[in-house]
Amino acid sequence: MITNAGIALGNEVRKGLRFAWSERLQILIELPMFATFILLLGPLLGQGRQVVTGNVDWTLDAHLTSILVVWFVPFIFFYMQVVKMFWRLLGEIQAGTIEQVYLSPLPSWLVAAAGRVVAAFLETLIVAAGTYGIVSIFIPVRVDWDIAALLPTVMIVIAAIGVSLMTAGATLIWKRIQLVNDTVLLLVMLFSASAIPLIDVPGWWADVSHAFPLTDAIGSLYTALFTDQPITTPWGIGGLVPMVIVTFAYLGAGILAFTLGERVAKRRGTLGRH
Amino acid sequence: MKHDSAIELSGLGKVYGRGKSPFTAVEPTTLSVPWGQVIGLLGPNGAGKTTIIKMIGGLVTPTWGSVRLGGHDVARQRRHAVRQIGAVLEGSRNVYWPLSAWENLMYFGRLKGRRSAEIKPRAQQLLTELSLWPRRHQPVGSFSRGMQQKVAIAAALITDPPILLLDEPTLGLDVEAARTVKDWIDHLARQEGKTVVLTTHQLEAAQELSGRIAVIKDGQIIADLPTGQLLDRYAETRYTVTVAGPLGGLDGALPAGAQVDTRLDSTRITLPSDNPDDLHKLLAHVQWHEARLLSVNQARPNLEEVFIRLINDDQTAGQVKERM
Repeated sequence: MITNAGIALGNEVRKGLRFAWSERLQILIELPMFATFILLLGPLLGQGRQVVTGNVDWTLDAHLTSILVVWFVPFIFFYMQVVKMFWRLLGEIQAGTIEQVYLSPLPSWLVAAAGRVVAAFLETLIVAAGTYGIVSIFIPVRVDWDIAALLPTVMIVIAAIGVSLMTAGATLIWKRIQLVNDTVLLLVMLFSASAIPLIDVPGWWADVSHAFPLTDAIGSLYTALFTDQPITTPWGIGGLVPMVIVTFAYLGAGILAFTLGERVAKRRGTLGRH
Repeated sequence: MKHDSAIELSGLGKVYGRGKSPFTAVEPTTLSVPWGQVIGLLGPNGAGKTTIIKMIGGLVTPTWGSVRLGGHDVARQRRHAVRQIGAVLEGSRNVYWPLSAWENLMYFGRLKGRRSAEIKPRAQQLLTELSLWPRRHQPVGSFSRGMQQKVAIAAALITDPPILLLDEPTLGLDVEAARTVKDWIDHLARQEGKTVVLTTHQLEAAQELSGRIAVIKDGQIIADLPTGQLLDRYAETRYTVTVAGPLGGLDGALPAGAQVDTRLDSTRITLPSDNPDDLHKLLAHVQWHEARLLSVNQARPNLEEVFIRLINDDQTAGQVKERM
């Protein structure tokens, strides 16, 4: 069974990367867009008055841009993971190949969920690394790499997997959920901004932001890479307790949503119908 | 130990929707298909054929009953049950268009838990036999519809499953491609001894390929017999009379319900029943009008006629079944 699981996982990863390769032009177009967003947003940070008066100094501050990268690259990863999972699954539903995938004797969570998660993960990793690389060409990204950063990084990956599974479950039932998907992703991005000291947010905003999947992990990542503080502080933005609880809650909710979505689709007979 | 039946449906039924407007797609159905049999599931659109096929494959959850494949329950022993089947599903691409034929076969082989080395020889054999070998590395999306369907069949067969579910495998194919697919199904059934569940609207193909026919109407199997027996059961001997030229004065001499097929230089008249008096009267009129008689034949009804009769006859429901 372990061998079969390995074969199935490898199979999905291979297929995912093969599809990514066939979409290489689209990915190449997306890559500079993400980097451009960071490079354009960087000079505007902390320049509210200058923006109003129209006298923006378009120089990049290495420290501020580095913080921006630490906020935005995880978000790109999260965004790509969720979006890739959604579009690939929808594509398979529309093509009808999803039903063939479900004819596999291997467990559906392995071939329809786990395999896709890993495939999207690798593809997304390339885009996130590419964005980081492009920004680094224009301005040195100064972060104090610390082994402690591994924990929030893993939490970001787990949260992204959880939300992508929730999206997948919803896609199996309702199919065209891209508007909901985009709205959720936008909210995740906006609320995660309260984890970094770039934008002032009201107290209620900071409180609510704990419930979103990336906030505390990005906060913890900031702590590990830019401060001398330990990441084991239990509470507050980036606190260990909310980070772990929220991350695993999203993973659990994702597994539940996918299982439920699959059951409903099979009961309704709409697994391959769009 | 090999189980007696390849496929066993026990009280299998499906209701879609809940609340005020539930729709019964398949009434509780019990059916057993022995190994090596080709069973044609025939019925008009919406009769429940595809739902049955998908319930057999575990793609639709039944409301009632169970499916066993080679003795394995699809719901409880899914891994063993699904290993028995390959499927070409209706209205689906079945295979990935951006991938090549070779990549598709390797993908679907591995999806079923086989290693690449195990499936390579089978992939080569299938692609060669289906005349796809020279184009094996081209994306399937660039293939004609017929070639794509061949890849879908090859993908369904990559692990050499003993049971094949073929839902409208010739749908949308041109005559030549449909013939190739049909020949291949025939080969699978006769040469390789596969158990095949076939749905198709091409009744001529169904008659040719299937050893047994089950006709479904409104989710209920209204006839289930070996093909020969089904035809015999409805084998009303009818007469066809062919005369040279147009119908002319014979028009008024035809009994009610006679079918007239006018061709370029002849006219074929099919009498509505096997009543010899009607035939004698018609022949007398042919002689009277000095029409040139070309032939008189006994016509055995084909599956299409039987099918239409069964579908249009409300009294038939539940009558034309035999324990198989």
